[in-house]
Amino acid sequence: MDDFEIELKHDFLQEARELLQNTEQSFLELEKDPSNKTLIDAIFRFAHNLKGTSRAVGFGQIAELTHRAENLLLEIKQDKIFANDHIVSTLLLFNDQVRVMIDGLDENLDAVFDCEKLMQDLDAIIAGEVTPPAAAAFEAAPEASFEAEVTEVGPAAETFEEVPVEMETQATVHKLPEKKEVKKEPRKDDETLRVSLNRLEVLNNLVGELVIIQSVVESSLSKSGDVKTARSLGKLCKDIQDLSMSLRMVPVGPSFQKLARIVRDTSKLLNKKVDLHLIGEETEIDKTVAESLGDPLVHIIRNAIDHGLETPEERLAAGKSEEGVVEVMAFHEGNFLVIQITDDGKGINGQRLIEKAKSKGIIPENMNLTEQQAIELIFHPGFSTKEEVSEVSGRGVGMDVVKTNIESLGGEVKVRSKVGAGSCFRLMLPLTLAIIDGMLIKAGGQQLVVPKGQIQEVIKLEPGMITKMTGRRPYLTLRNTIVPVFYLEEDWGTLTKGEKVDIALIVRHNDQSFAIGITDIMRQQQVVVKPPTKEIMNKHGVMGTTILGDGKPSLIIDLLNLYSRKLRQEINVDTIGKAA
Amino acid sequence: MFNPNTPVLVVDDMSTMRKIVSKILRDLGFTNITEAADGTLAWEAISKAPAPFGLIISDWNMPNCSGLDLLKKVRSDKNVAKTPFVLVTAEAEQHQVAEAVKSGVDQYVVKPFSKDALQAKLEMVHKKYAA
Repeated sequence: MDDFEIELKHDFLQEARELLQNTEQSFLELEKDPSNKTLIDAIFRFAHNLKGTSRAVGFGQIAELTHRAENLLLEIKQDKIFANDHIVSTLLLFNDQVRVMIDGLDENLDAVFDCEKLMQDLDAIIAGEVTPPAAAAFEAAPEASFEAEVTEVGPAAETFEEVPVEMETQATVHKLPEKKEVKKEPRKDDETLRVSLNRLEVLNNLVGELVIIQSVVESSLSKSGDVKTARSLGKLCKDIQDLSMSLRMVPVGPSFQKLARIVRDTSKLLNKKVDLHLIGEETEIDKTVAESLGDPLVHIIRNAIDHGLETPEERLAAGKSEEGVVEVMAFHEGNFLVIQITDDGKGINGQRLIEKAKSKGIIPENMNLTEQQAIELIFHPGFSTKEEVSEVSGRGVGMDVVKTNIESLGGEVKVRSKVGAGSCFRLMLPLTLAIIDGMLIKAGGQQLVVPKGQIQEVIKLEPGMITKMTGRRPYLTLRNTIVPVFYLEEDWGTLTKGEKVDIALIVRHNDQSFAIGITDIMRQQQVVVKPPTKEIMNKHGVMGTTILGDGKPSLIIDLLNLYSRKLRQEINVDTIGKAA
Repeated sequence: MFNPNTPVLVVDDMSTMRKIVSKILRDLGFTNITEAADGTLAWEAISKAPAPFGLIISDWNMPNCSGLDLLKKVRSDKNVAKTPFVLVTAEAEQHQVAEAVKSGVDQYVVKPFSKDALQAKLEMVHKKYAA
């Protein structure tokens, strides 16, 4: 293979991947609107292009498989075959398989795949050998057929599980009416430059350094009286920083798009009817955050359909429409991206959760919880156990993992629910992980940075405010609420002589506030987060390191992560909570 | 054969295909190659070209404006009507070739094609226009 051929093959794989991003959506739309000519034409053209080009670059297997799919699509295009559920399912498997092949070929250009079965299935449909009525396969033995569906495509099973978020596509995901625009995309593409994320990260790092130097230069310029130059420099650096940050932003659309498929497969398996509304797909977020968003979203959606939505019969009996509605909405709120997943299902029954939690020994028998606290039990690790995990939601992770994942991104998850009316999960994620608004504090004899966003309020500690009891976590009373107090020097450093803890940062986790005693607040500033090294990662809540304006390094401490974990471990906090 | 300086327009909605065709053309000695991602963009390039294209090689199946639509547009505009035009087709479209011939296509090549195949077609086209 010469260099040109290798380059060509990789170019093709990239282009094919972008095409695939749109096609899954198209197949799903086809199922809803099987006689949409424009759509069928677009899908046919996709298969046609994929076949022609894959053959031209020497990927015979993709060409051969796509040839079968193209034949089937031609029959659909010519109204000889009607695109029923079964056919759409097979086409989706085809879509999955092509994706697997593309990923495989990207790693090894000579990779060979087993897609005999799928080709036979496609041929069989064309030959008129299989025309099962819609969803019959699912009704017969839901679980078994679900397994079969997934395992059939081999490696695709993993793809389905992990739902990789392919953010390479710069395409904004449009809904169907704009489908034509999506197809016009090559035009936009031609004006786009593909840059590796690595280089962007280097750029961001350099800009971070630049900002640090700038603050040094700015202060010395100001001192020498040249305030104007100092200001211009400051503004220029801010603009460069904003721009370099924005380069990492991608729309959440592609992560959302995966959900349509999840909803389809899950609802078919469970015999539920689901209408998925996606709102705000164009909302942008840092690529790294977007990549970590896929799994939690998928899990929440599966849960919503499995545990949230009722069966059509139950819904009718409850006076609701047969079709359940799941709405996924993204929008910006301050420095956060908010994703709200709302369903109009049966809601979370707090009382039942309490009973379950007590029977599992998660909470003591005599404990009283508010309705909201009860609902939040779903985030408790070890809450979901094997016997209650169904085929659908049991795949992958529990809600506690969702929560941990979101929190490790510096975000938070909230849930609201009303029995009979539905549930709403609210994910709040920082727009970027690379720069945070930090508060430079002094504690345990050293300077540390904490994320400003985590701090609800700052209070000055007066003598006697903190109640200490032997063997128990000290606490203070804040507006009639009891707040446990932690000391940063427990984990970081020791108090030096003459140093006194007289400021408390109030941090909130779920409905629980806690106070963190520190010595002093130096200032607030934006800091560039450098990921922690392996040695200190996850230790004592270190979320990263940064270089301060004076050139000195500092650790950034994730207070929420560090102390919410401690809080959970300390049972006496519950006792205090009850005393309130 | 065509003069190597002949401005050539390559039209295909797949960038990989454009790359392949352009590479073959370069291997054949062509030095002035322009690419367009669909018929509409191609028409824009044709109308704005400082020097008229001496050869158009276009894919057939493209969104918005297909290769056939582009051919018809070219043939009906007196400024560019006499531009040699080659359509790139897939085997499935061969039965439609009649319509393309009626619309004035000079040659068609079936994907995937080799350098030799394209060269042979281009020689035929060149001969036709030289005569």
